Amino acid sequence: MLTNNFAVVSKAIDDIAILQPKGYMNDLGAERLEHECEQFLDKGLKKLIINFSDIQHINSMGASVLIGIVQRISESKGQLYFTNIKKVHFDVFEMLGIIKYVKIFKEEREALKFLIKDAEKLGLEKTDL
Amino acid sequence: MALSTLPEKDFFGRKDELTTLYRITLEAEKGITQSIFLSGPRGIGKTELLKQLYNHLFWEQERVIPFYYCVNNGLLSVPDFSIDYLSRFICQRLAFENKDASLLGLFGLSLERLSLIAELKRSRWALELLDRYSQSTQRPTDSLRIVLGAPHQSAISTGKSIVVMIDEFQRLKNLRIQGTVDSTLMTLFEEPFSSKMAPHIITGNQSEIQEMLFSYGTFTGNLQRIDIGSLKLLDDSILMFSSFLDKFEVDIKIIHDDILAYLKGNPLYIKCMAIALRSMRQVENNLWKIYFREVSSGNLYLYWSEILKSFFPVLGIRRKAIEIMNKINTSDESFTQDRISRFLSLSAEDSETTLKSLYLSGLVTGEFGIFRIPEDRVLRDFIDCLYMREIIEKPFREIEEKFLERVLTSEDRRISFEMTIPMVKEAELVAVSALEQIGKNLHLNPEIIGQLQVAVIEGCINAIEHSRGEGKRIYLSFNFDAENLTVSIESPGREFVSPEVGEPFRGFKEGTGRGWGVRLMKSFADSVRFEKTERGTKVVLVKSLKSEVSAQGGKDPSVDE
Repeated sequence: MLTNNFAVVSKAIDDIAILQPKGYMNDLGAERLEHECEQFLDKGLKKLIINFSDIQHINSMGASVLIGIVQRISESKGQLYFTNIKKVHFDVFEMLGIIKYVKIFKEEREALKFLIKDAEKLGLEKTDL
Repeated sequence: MALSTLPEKDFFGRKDELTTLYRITLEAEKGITQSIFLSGPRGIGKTELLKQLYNHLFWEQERVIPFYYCVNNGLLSVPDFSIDYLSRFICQRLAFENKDASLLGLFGLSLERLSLIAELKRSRWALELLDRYSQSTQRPTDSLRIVLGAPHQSAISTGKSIVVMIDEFQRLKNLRIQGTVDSTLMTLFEEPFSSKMAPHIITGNQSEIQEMLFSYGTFTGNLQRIDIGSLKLLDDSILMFSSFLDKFEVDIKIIHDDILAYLKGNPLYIKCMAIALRSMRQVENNLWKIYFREVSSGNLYLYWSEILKSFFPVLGIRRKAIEIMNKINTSDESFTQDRISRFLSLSAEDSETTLKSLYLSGLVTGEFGIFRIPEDRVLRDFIDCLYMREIIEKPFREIEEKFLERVLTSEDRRISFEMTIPMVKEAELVAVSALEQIGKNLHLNPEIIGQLQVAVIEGCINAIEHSRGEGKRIYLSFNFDAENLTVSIESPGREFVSPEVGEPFRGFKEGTGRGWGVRLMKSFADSVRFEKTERGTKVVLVKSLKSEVSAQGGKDPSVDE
């Protein structure tokens, strides 16, 4: 196997999980991302942001696993946000019908801003982000 | 020399193939050699290869007896064919045994004359054979069975293996008994082909033989296919061209290797170009001009137009055939029979008959119900010239100007890269990295490259998935010209494409990812073709460098509010 160096950097800010995958998102890569998402869901974090800025390539098998992630989060009554998507990857998601199930933001901070506003609407307290 | 061939010094670029065939045929002595179908495009040198093999076997060893037979269109009634086949076999075997090449020149001999020769040479096997044959002449099928089995029988009776080489094998489908073509006669080859003491090597028109083998599937299991491709190295083409020029005493200062590269190592085309130069009254330094004259009215034109005429003797139907070829030739899209019928307003029956003849002639290829012109630029140019001249009646000068403009401008900008990657997971990353670098070097729009990268990744994954472990490598070529960037991804594996739809995968199941690869390839490349090749299957992705990138993938990613 060639070295893909796929990695996922993640962090949690209050009830929001931010995941930043890096490298080639094939089936193996996407499965690792799926695993990370599941860990956050298991911890009760239902709002997930995936920042795609460091994704170099995506293939159909990776996209297929991504659909599984979308379904899993939907079943958990969670919310999924995609940010920093390259044009060509956005086209792939659109072609495969993924984007209709997620909210898309150009930048990660815009997604965060949206979520905080959302939280405020619900009357919840938020720490300064 | 036994058979008339090129001098060995002028037989370029086929040493490996000759050595392989020589080695395989010598194994006939051990009774382990399987019969062979030597396949390859027209003009590639299959006949010359067989004749060279014959001469090597004739002069250089004693263990295996060579027999070469070229089927003659004029001798296709069973009695004519049978006596001709028999007499040539007997003469060639006796010639080999006595190292007497003069016997090779004998043909059209009567039974009496053959018996006399056999007696003179004290050949018991030949006398027995002639005796059996003479008793069967009233029953043509029996006499045919005897002559086809003669090499095997004589090998059994003498313990000497024989290699039977039959050239222009496809002509045998027209074997006739009392003026009527009898297709069941082909089944008589089943036994001879299975003989390990007398294995056969057949060659001729690839498409027609393939069709015959497909129709009479009973003997395909006894045939091993060996493909003969173009001359692999440009140097071989240059050496061959120079050798012809020397032979024809043509003195040109510079050999333009760009035109020889254009001819793609086809010995017939190279020879035609050399002959064209010989017949020039004054030296023409622009070889492209000479090439154009060749392909529009010279020997290259005559070669292909004779094939066209032989398959379409009626002018009206020939014109339809030219229109069909032009339609396929000028489009990047794949054509099914239905599409051709629709485009040219032909009945299903007419398009089926015409396409079948075009396929059998080798003027179009047709795998999995999809038709295309072979990857042969000379043939493509011939079709182009013929269409412009015969169908839309453009003046010669105008056709020439248009051709020269196209070929000279595109040749200047044509760049090719080839690479081989191992068939391991994520090897596709190497291919897309190469593509990215090519894009940077050629200052191509990164968005176009990005889209093509998606398609290439899917093409490579397809190749790995569908090769079913048959090979260890994927062969990629990246070709860039003024208009397109074309990536070919070739791999072993013949079960790649569905014969029903001419595409991989049998269905698209929403949400499983299955079938998404093809969908992505089609979305991100401007044209996707699936082709059966000598190595297995090839996916050809074409991306137009002029395509509207923003229209391809939909809207820009933006805030979703």
